[in-house]
Amino acid sequence: MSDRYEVQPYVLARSAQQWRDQAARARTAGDRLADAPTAGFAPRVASAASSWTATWGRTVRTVASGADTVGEELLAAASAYGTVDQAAHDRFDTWLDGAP
Amino acid sequence: MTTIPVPAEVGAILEVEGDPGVVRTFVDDLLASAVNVDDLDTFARDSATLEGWSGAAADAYGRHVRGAAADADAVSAAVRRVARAADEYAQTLTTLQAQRSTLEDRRASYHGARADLLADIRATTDADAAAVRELEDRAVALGTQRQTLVEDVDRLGRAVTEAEQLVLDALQSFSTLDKARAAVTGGLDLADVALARPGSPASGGSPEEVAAWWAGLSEDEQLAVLAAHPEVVGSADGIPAAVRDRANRLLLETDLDALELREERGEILPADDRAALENGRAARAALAAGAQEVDPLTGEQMVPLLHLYDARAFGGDGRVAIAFGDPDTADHVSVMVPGLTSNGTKAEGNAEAAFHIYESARYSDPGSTVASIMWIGYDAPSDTDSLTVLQEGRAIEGGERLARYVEGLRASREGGPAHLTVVGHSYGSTTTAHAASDHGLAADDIVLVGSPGAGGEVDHASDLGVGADHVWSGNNSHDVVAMLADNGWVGGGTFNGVGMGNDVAEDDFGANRFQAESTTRGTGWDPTADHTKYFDQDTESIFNIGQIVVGDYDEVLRAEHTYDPWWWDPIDPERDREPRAIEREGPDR
Repeated sequence: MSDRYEVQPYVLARSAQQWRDQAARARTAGDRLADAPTAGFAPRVASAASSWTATWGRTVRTVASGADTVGEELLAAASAYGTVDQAAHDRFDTWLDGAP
Repeated sequence: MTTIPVPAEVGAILEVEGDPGVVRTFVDDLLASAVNVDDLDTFARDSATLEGWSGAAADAYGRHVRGAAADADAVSAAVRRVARAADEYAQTLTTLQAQRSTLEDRRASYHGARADLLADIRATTDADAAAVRELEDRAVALGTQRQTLVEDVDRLGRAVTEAEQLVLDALQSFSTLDKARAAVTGGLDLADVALARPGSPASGGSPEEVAAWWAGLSEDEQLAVLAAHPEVVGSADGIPAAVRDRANRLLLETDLDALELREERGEILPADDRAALENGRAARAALAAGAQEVDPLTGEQMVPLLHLYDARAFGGDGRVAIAFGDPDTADHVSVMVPGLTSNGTKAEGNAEAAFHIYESARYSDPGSTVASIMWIGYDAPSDTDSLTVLQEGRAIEGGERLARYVEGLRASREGGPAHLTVVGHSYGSTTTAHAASDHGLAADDIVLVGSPGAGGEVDHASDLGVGADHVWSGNNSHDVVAMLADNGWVGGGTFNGVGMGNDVAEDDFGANRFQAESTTRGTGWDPTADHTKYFDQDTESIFNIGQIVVGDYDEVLRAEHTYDPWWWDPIDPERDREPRAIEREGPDR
């Protein structure tokens, strides 16, 4: 843990939404890539092109899932900061409740 | 007995398998995918640090996100490289299929000549030496013909194999993410390098400089810029129309995909995204409707070009231009500049108007080629800012954009310059006049229809810089918007910044006035109806615009000017003339 940190939870929430949007676009790109028509190539190229589009369609979908995960982790981080803040708040409340 | 050796037949020529059109669809799909992945790369780099978040977790996030950006960059590079190879393959395939067709013709011709020779030999029973020599000579010539043909067939086979191998090599070179990472590691981004060169649109190059910059890029660089920055390529004046179309269609497709996906999952889109979605849908509908049109003389299906597309420009009003015909090669090019209410959502109606101009010009000169563009490239008064129509501000700003756009059309030409006409309608006529009077619009002819005026600083047609005899006015006598222009001997141009200047149909203005009355003039409940009939089929107006666009000035139906006697209100002689419908004839009508 670093000595200093700063967090504005809404920044994380907003960025999480943007990551999800990017993930959705990347997923569309993956689907488009996987479905790209290879029938226009000569047969010996077409089969290689089909397996290439299948591979890269999967790769791009994996990249999309990665982007989704970033969004989820940002939300989880925002939630974690909230939990820590609440814990600190509770601790102070407990202490102050017992104060004379 | 004499034996004459006749060369053998030539075996069947191998098929050049494949369909270049389908390969191009493959390429477009790959490029659209690359655009999305490139966007992810840019987004990830830009959000590696978030303002308002720092500390150990933020650092870890940043490290991860930079890695994700690098991967997206590698994916994009791989997809672009394969797209490039496939694009080249499609071009080569087209050439090779044409070559094969020629070889088939040559083979048939060879077999015909061979059959003739055999028949002549068989028919010869007691030939003299000269006749035998003639048959031998023909056999030798056939042998040479066969030899050349066989060599060319072999060459075709090798070329086919080579073209296929190039694609296979590209697929193999970028078969995995690891290979793609290795290929881009430490390397400079081709697109960024290209955009950093002098003359690029990013460097603020003039249309001529942009045209030279684009022509100077390698094909790899061109494709890299196209996929990484379609928004730059699609809007850059000076870049060839076909390239702009490709870039703008990529943008349109990826924009709509993203926005419609969000809509489908029930998200309430913010106003700017909603406006972009509506503009995108309008552009898509305009392109689809345009593709249903056919050339009136050849009957060939039209392929409209998306020459400009920016769905988010001007606070959501958007920019869009659609062309019928190829502006880079057509003999005659026209640019129609619409006015009040024109924004991205009005793409379809304005594209239809541009097609009617195309159609009319084709009828007017069947022997020449034509391109007709509708250009919504300025922030025309529309929706909530409609009242700005009363002032010239948007026309002044739009005039500068229009002049640059037309300069770009000149710069991207292949071969000689086109005869170029700018047709301004309504507020667009004021914009056109400002482009001409303020920025030296590079047009040959200027047509002003439904015009409320050419601007307060323009007193006479000769002020527009193309010569008064090349300025054409088409205001009809029932057009209430045209009536807003300043008429007569007491006119003051504009008053306190309100108004668009002198009536361009008046005798004092000095433009050629042409007939533009409608057979339905003054009918119906809408008092502004006659303001929107200038581009309708079978009208005097569209007939005359067609003649002007092809430079056939003698055929333009002239109208008497409006005049303003000192003792009375302005008088328009066209009010007393009986309008007529002008039907054109061609295979399509």
